[in-house]
Amino acid sequence: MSTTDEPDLGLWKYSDSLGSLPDEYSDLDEDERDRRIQDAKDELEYEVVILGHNYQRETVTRHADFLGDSLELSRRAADADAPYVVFCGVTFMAETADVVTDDSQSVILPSMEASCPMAGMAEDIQVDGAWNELTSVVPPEDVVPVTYVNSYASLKATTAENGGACCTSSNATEVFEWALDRGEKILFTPDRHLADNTLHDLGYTEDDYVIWDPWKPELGGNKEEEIEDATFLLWEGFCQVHERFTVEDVETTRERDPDVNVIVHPECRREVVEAADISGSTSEIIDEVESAEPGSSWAIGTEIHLTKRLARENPDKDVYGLCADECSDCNAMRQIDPDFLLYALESLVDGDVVNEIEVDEDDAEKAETAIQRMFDV
Amino acid sequence: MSKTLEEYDVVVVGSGVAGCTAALKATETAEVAVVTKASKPEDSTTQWAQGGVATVAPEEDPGEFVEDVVEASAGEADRDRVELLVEEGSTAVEEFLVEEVGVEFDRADDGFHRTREGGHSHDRVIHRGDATGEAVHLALLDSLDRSTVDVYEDHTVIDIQEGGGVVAVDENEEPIYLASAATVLATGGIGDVYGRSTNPPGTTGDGVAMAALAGAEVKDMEYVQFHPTVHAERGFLLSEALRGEGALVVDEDGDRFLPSYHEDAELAPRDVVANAIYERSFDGDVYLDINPVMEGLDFVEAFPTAAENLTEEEMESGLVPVSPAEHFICGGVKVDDRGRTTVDGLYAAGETACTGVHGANRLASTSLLEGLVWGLRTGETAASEADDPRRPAEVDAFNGEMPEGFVDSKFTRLQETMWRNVGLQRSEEGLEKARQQLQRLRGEVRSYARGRVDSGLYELRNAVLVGLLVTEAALENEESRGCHVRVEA
Ligand SMILES: Cc1cc2nc3c(=O)[nH]c(=O)nc-3n(C[C@H](O)[C@H](O)[C@H](O)COP(=O)(O)OP(=O)(O)OC[C@H]3O[C@@H](n4cnc5c(N)ncnc54)[C@H](O)[C@@H]3O)c2cc1C
Repeated sequence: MSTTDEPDLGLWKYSDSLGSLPDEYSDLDEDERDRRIQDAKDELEYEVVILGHNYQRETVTRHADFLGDSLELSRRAADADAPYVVFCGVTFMAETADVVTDDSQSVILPSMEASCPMAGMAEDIQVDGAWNELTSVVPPEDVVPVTYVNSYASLKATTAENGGACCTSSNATEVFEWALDRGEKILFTPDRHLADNTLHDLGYTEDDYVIWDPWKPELGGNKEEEIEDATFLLWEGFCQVHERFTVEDVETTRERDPDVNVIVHPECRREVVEAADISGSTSEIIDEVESAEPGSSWAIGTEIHLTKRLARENPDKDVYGLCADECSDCNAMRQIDPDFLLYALESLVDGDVVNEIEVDEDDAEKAETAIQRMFDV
Repeated sequence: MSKTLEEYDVVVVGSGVAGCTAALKATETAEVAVVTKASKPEDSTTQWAQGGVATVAPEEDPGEFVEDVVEASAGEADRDRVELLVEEGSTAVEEFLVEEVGVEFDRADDGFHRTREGGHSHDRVIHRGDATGEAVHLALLDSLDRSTVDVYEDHTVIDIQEGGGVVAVDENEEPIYLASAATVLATGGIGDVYGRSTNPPGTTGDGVAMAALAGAEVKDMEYVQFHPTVHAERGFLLSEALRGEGALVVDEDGDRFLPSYHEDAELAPRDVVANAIYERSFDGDVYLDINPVMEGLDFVEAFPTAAENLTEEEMESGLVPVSPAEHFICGGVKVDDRGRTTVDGLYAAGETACTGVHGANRLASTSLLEGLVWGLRTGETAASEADDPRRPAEVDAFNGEMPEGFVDSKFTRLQETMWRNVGLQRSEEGLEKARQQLQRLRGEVRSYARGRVDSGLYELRNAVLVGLLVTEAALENEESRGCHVRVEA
C-alpha cells in the first residue's frame, strides 16, 4: 500500500454537490486551482485565516495556515485577528469556532454539507426529551450531562443548562471525575464508545452503564431499575469511521507485522481499544508517532488522512492504516474539497460571505459556558 | 455479491398509471421489465385517485379545455404541451384505457357519465363512482400481468446508472442488478418529504432525486400543490366534491371563515382554501361540516369511500377534523414531448416528470390523464430508442452499523422542517433556515448511504434531496404564483 498517495475514494458516481457549488468551480485543473487559491489568499492577506482539520485531505490542508484537532483550531480562531475564519472541517467544529470567536468575525464552512453523522445522532430536541424522561425517574441533581465536543452547539447549550460540561477525547477522564464529584450519574452524548473507554480507564466496567437508545420508546430501552443502578448512561451514538475498526484488523496486522505498535482513537469500540497497544486522541497519536524510534512500525486506527499525513511526515518510520483506506475515510470531512475552498475564498475577495455558520446567540452563550467549564476542570 | 443480472431493453421504475402505461406500450416492440417497490396496489398513488379523468366534453371545443388548464396553471403552463394533452387525451382514454385495458367508466345514455370539478368550465370528468383510481389501476395491473412484461414487485430501485442499468434491492434488502438500454422513471410524487400528505407512505420522490443525481434537469419544483381538506388525523382525502355539494369549513367555534378570504368561499380555488385553513390551523382545529351534504342527499350512496373512512361519531356529528396536506408536485424531472429527460437513455413520466402541462398549479383530474398520454409516448419512445443494454456497476457496501431509528428520526426532522418553512407559505428567512438544515441533514445521511445498502436510507437520501430542490427553487422564485406562495417573515 502506498503511503504518500491520497486515497481516491470518490464512491459517488455522479457530481453530488447539486446547487451548492457553482458550475464554474467543478473540474478545475489542480495547478490552476492551487494558483487561484494562493492568489485569493494573497489578496485577502490578514483578512482571512484558513484552518485545516487533521482529517482533511492533503489537497486542502496544503492551503491551511494551521492544522490541528477541532479544539486546537477553535483556539486558533479565537486568537486570530482575521475577520474571516475559513474552517475546513465539519459543521459542529465551525459552530464551536463561531462560539469562541468574537462577533465581528465570520466563520465560513466551505461546504454546508460537511456534517458529522455522529453529531447528528444526538440532536438537542432528542436529548431534551430524554432528559425530561430520565429526570422523571431520578432526581435531576443526581445526573450530570457531559457532551463530547463533537456535537452541535445547541446540544452543548442544553448540556450547560442542565449543569453539565463538554469534554474532548484527551480530557474525558478529568471531566468524568469532575462530573462524578457533583452527581451520581453521567448522561454522556453522543459517542458511546468514547464513554465506554473512558469509564474503563476510571476503573468502572460494563456493569456500571446502560445504553440510552433515543429511538426506543421508553427510557431509552431501559427498565427503571436499570437506570437507577447505572452510573453511566451512554447515548446510542458513534463515529461510523472509528466504529469500523475490528479486533480482527488488529490481529491480522500483528500477524503480518509482529513488531508493530497498534495505536487507536478512543472512539473505537472497547474491544479494539483493549486489543491495541495504545489509545489516544489525534494529538496524542501524532505525538507518539513523532517521538517514536526511527525504524519502528505503526498501525494507526483513526481517519485515513491523518494516517497518510503521519506517514508523509515520518519517512523514517513505517506508518500505515489499521484497515484498508476506504474503511477509514470520513465522508463528512471529504465533503470539503479544494473546489469548495476556492469558491469560498474567491467569494470573499468579491466581498461575498458564502456559507457562513452562525450559531443562535442564546445557544452560543450557553455552549460557551459548557466549553469553559471543561477548561476550568 | 451480484445476484441475478437480467437484461432488458427498457426498465420502467414504478407501477402507477404512468409506469404501467409506459410498460404496456413499450412491450409491443421491446423487452421490458417493471421494477416497483409496491407490494400491493394501495402502495401507488394511482390507486387513491377519486375524482376521475378529464377529457374534452362532447359539447365543447377542445380549445376550451386547453384554456382551463392554462388558466389553472397561473399562465405558466406550456400551451403546446397542454394542446397535446387535450388532443391525445380522449383517444388515450377511449382506445387504450377502455378498449385495450378494459376500464369500465360509469356510463350515461349518450356516452360517459361526466361530472364537473373546480376550475372546469364543462362537465368533463369521467369516473367510476368515487374510486376511479382503483378501477384504472387494477385494470392496468391486470393487463400487465397478462403481458410479456417481467414485473419485479417489492423491489426498490436505489440507483440508476449513466447510460443504462438499475440497481434495486429486494424485500430482503439484497441488491439485484438489471441491465437496461433505456430507463423510464415513473415513481410518482413526494408525499413523504412533507409527512402530511394524501399520497400513500413510501412516496419519497425517488425518481426526481435519482434523475437529479444522474445530472438530469429538474423544473418547477417550487410548485407543490397542497390539498386543502385532508383528514387531520388519518390522512385520507375528503374530496373537493364534498364542498361542491355544500360542505362548509368551520373553526373550533363552528364559525365559517372562508367568506373573508374569497368571494367563492368554500368553492374558491383549492390553493386559496388550503392557505386559509393552513393559517387558521395555527389558532386551533379546523373542521369540515358535512351536515349540509347529508341533508341534501344520501351521503353513503354519493360518497361511499368517504363514508367508509369516517367513524360513526364523525358521521353523527357531521364534523370532520381537517388540515391541508401535500397532494401533488407540479414540477419534476424536465422532459420533452416524448418523455426524454436531459440525460441520454433516461426518461420520465407521470407525477415524477415535469411535462409543462401544470405550470404553477394543476387543474383537477388532469394527472391520471397526463400519466396516460405521456406514459404512452414515453413507452413508445424509450422502446424505439433503446440500443444495447448496459450492465450497472456494483454498489459499494461495507454495511457498517447504523442506529436502528436513524432513518425514522431523520425523516421526522426533514418533514418538520419542510412543513414549517417550505409549506403552504414561504418566507425568505424560513427558506434560508430550511436550506441550512437540509444541507446539514443531507451531509449526515450521505455519510451512511455511501457504505450501506438499505432501501430506507436511500429513500431518506432521496427525500432530503427533493426537499432541498423544492427549497432552492422556492428561494429563487420570489414571486407568488399558483401554488407557490411567498410571504414576508
Ligand atoms: C387521494 C388522491 C386523489 C387523487 N385524485 C385524482 C383524480 O381524481 N384525478 C387525477 O387525475 N389525479 C388524481 N390524483 C393524482 C394522481 O393520483 C397521481 O398524480 C397519479 O396517480 C400519479 O401516477 P404515477 O404513475 O405518476 O405515480 P404512482 O401512482 O404514485 O406510482 C408510482 C410508482 O412508483 C413506485 N416507486 C416509487 N419509487 C420507487 C423506487 N425507488 N423503486 C421502485 N418503485 C418505485 C411506487 O411503488 C408506485 O408503484 C389524486 C391523488 C391522490 C393522492
